[in-house]
Amino acid sequence: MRKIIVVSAAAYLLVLLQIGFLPHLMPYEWYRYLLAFFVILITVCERPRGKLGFAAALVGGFFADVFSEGYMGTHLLLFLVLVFAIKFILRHYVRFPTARAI
Amino acid sequence: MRFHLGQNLAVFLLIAFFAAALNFFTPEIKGGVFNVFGPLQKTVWNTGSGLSDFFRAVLNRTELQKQNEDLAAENENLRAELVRMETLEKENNELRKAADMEANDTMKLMMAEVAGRGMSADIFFLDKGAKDGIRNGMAVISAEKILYGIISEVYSSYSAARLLSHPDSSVNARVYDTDISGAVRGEGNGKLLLDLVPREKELKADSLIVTRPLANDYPSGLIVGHNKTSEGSDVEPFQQASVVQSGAVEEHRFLFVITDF
Repeated sequence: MRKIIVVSAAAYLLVLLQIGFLPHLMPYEWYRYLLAFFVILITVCERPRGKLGFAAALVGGFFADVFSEGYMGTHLLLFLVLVFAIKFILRHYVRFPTARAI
Repeated sequence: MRFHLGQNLAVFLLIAFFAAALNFFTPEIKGGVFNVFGPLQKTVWNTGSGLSDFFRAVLNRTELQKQNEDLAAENENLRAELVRMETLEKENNELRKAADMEANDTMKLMMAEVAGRGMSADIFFLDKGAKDGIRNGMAVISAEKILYGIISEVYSSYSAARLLSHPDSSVNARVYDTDISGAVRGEGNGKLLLDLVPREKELKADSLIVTRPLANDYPSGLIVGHNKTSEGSDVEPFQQASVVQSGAVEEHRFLFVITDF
């Protein structure tokens, strides 16, 4: 549970960085996929049955939707599909020696 | 260890249903999140602004030294120029009125603090919303009367504005001090294009582009930017030119919403 809270907070902080801090320092193209990269990284690194990727997708996706135009739930669902897809591929086709690190 | 497709699909559909249901409560959700996290956002925005100024100063130290010397020399020239300008001011005001350049001094402005950029490149947030009298379609400008964007979403105490570079943004504009008019439209990712300029008009590079609204939706004479050299084939009826905006939202802590003009 503690890990889920930490990952959720990290996802929110990344959104905050992306909308409030990084625009001052670098072009948008450099950090536009930061949150997506974070979700992918967490999903790839956690245990195959872990829930951290879903937590990052839900919280990060929710805040990304709040701070975007368009329909609510777009980022959230995209990230969830991403996590489902990565987990499916990792379980069936890939084995990392370091996959149990987190 | 098996991947339970049916079970996962059911969970996903449930979440999708809730995500879709969020759209019925968008103003409440976005407004609520802004209310809770807004102060933190503004702090992060201001910290980023301060830090970027610091890094800019450190990285450009030599350049700043030279710039300082140049500015000192320029200051002397400007003092002399000022004396001359004061005598010309009255005449200049009349000319600006005649050229319809006067960015209406009677317009009512509401100062708003920038609360961050959006997750997509071409929107930004302000800490004033419906309860402060902000409405969709209002123009957002800086103290220098540079037009930055148009309010596109309004919540109770916050609002979102589309930058001029947003792909759905378009403002009617003209080249200052000429009768050349066209439309400045966004191309996304901070890019602007001056379009619909008749081919027979001579569009000089680095001309000042100002607003010239067809309807009464924003004042005329607000600064948009400078154009680059015109592009497009000679057989096309209109010419186009990239526009470099006169400023960036990141340079500002406060902007102004034109509530009436």
